[in-house]
Amino acid sequence: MTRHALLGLFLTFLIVTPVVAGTLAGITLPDTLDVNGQQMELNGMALRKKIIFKVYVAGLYLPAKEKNSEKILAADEPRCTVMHFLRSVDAGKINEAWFDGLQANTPNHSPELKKQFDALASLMEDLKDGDKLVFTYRPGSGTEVKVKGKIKGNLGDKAFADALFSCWIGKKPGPGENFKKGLLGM
Amino acid sequence: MKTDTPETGSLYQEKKPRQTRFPRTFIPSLLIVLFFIHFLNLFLQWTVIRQELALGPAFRAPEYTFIGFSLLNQEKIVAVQLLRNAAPSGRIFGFFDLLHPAIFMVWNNNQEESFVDLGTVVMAVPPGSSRVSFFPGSVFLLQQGKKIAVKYFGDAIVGRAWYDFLVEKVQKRKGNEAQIPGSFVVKSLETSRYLKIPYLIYFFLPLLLICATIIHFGPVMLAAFLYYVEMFFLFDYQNLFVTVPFGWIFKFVNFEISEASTRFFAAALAIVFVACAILGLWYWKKRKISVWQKRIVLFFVLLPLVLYF
Repeated sequence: MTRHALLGLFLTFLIVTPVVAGTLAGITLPDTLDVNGQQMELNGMALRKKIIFKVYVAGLYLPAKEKNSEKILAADEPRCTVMHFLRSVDAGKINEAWFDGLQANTPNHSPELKKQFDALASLMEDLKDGDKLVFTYRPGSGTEVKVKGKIKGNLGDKAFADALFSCWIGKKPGPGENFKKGLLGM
Repeated sequence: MKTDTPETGSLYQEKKPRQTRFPRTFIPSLLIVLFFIHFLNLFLQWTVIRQELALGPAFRAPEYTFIGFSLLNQEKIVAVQLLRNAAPSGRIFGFFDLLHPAIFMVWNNNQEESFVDLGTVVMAVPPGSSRVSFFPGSVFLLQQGKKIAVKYFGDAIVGRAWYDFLVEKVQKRKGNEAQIPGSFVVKSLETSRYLKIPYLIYFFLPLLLICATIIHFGPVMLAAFLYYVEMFFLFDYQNLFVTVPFGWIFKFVNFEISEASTRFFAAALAIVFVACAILGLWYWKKRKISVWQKRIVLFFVLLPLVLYF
């Protein structure tokens, strides 16, 4: 009985503990991620810096490694971005970045898309060092938004996911070209 | 062989053997009790959603009408389906049945998708009339004509598997129909006055009952902590074990608990519950336990399934 219980405990920790891989600015992200039974690979990591301050480390997960951002956005496949914050950022600043990213990369967006970005903005909270934002797009299901480890919502369709991911890997990435290259593993 | 001396009782008569097998009536009566709890749980969730909306919807303010339990209001529900919407901002009718904590019939009068508050979530409904059915285990189904979307808004370890099962079942039943986005925003349990009530009951009431049974029946009843081990997998363990039951303490001392600390405390508490359950099972193995003790442990083992489904 005790042996079974220990095995159960071990399995519990196995579920909670990710496999360790990529490291950047002291942040380690797991090499693979499971999305609905589909294994996703860490495509690349990037550090968002503002002047000399490290703001967050992001990791992009895809079903298979891909360096072409247009191919990534065109494919209707799962994708996930993890943002690990290294300093406090208030919700207002984060939302400003979303709307700037939307305007720069999807200038002729529909009113529905704007509404979905408004909903995204309503999910944001003030974040501290160590907090995470996770965006997981599942085809046919939308983009799941996790803030500080909690599911806060599920938004839009592929058009929303494309507009959101374009904020990092679109033609005019908000955090800069080097950041985009990092996520694309270049 | 007959004897003249009648049998006389001894002061040191053997004790009657304790009944250790369940009587025949036990399983049906247990099922009745569990069904009653299932209904109470559905009613609790329905009441919480109703109160949350009565307090003031978060996003838009359509006109809400709460019908109640569907079996007692069949005629009203049929009549509502024939109604044309008159309210300019939209209209929502809600009821619950034995399988769903809430079902909403929504009329969205706008020309485009609109976000409406449905108690636990704020969701985008397409223009026209649609139906939103909440399933147990944080899953809901949005239907408009032949368009359909199944969505999961929980964060439980086994929740995603339950959602996948439902998606497969619904899609098989309905065929490959067109999808609708069905965007939604989950309302925070911590900030809501009503939404946290089920989690408070799920955490504290069984804890109180288990402690009472331990005091009455002894340490073997620690096995009833299996309830919390199951709850760890079935429900969002961070909300159930830390954020909701102890959130008020953090608020009181003005301390904002981080995501990592919440996960750590929840996992630590889960380990304590596993240890208690193992200790109880060890006592169980060591000595014969009475049928009542078995009944109580079985009840607590089945209870999480009833609360989840």
